[in-house]
Amino acid sequence: MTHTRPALLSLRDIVFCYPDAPPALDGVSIDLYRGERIAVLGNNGAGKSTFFLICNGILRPQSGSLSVDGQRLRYTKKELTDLRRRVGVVFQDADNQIIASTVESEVSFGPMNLRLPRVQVERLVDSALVQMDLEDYRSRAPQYLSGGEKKRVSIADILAMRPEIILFDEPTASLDPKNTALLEQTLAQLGDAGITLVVSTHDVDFAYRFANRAVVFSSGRIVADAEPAQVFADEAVIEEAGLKRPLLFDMARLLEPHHPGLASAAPKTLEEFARFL
Amino acid sequence: MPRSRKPHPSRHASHSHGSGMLAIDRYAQRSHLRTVSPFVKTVFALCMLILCIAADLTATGLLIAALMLAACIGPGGAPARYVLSLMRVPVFFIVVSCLAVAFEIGRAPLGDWDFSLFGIWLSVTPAGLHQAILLFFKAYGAVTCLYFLSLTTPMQDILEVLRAARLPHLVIELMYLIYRYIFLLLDVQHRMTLAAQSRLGYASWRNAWYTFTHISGNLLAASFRRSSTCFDAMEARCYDGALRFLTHHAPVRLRHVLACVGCFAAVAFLTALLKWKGVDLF
Repeated sequence: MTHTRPALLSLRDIVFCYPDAPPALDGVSIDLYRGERIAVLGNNGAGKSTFFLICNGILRPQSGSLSVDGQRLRYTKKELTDLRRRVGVVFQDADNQIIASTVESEVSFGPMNLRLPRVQVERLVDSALVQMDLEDYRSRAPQYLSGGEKKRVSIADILAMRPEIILFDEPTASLDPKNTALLEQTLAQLGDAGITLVVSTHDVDFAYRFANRAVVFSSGRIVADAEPAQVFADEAVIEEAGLKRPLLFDMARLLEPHHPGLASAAPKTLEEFARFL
Repeated sequence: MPRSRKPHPSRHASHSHGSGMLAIDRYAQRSHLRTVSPFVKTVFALCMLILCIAADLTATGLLIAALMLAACIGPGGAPARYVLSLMRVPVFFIVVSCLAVAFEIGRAPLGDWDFSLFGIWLSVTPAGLHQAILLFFKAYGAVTCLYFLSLTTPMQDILEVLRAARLPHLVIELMYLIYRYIFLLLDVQHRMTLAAQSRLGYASWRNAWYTFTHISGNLLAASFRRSSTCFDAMEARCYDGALRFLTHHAPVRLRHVLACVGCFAAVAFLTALLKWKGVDLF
């Protein structure tokens, strides 16, 4: 992939070890650009969550460097605040992220921590609530929200900080099919708004539909980083990372002899697929 | 044919934390009186509480209890059955205290009803009985004032009042987090208990005790694990040691203030009248 503008966020040779454990990240380098939709794939324990915490400056790597807009991060308080505003993380379990006792207070936590004036905080909270369709939930307490609603609150949390990159840690993990579909719509909207989306997931079908770039982690290293169709075509990567191929991807290859051009067109949705039959 | 047993109404409807005292929280969150400023409600409840205790009249206690319960049920919209069932909670405590007041201990029978016990006499005198009845209604009146506050004002609103009352930040932040995590930990505990039940963890007293200790231990471990993720999530949103939130509470409205003042004045007037006439219910 060629990019004319500098990367929003770039990681170089990041190594990170938790105490008494093999390296969770072992020489990870990656550049994230504006407007990308990236699926992060890989087994549990492959380093995806650690990667997210590094990107947000929560964990500091033992070696390697992080650059924001080409500026190398020195981990001063000011730089960290700036990094965390620009790179938001939506945690896997919304209950671990939500701390306030009303939705409105909860969403205001980020902007308030940025010490913005109250009027501006109100504006940011309002627009995040509208974006996540949560206006009617303003004064509700989080313990009485459903799983899907909590997930929306946890996304609004991050949107209120006007980030340039949002990292989603397995966002569909505890959602029912209806809420998963809603989340996909939300992701599409955010992507259209120009926010870079990085989504870790085990759902390869979703990754195939959603992403324009797939990054595969295995044992703390990035073993593939390319367009999804290209990544899924690579048997060695699939084997090493223990992935499964998307159903539509396999189907396209299976039906290629009868419908020439299907495999190379790589339709990503059932509707697109049906047009070839 | 054996009659099928009626299904027992599940105490844990779905996975809500509905049982017991936490239902208070649910009704407070849904109360119609949330549109009334928490400051107005707190001052009102406190004034009524002071009036109830200072009046020292059975009639005032009864009147305040009735008024407060009616306020929770009528304008507040809490279900009457639940509110009345709450009145059972302090019954034991209040009755025991009243009995202690009602009985006098002496070496000889003193009152209208006397019981001998190991050579001493327990006597109920008219004065003691009156004192006990007065205490009963005063205590109930006072408890309902607090019930009114708890059933119409959720924790986050009460914290706003405490903040305005200049309670130290640390205390407020701790209350804030404790309140939030009570629900999360209860949920974890509930799930562990269900899992244990499904493996016969409570089949006997011995099992139950064993299960209880293990669940308690696991809960501690689970909260430690969780706390580090929670802290990461807070840091990810630029947390730097002080919890800051945007908060809104219902504004103070003149008609609410007038209604409260009216209520208070009416009860105070009636109390003064009874005092002046020197009469009471008992």
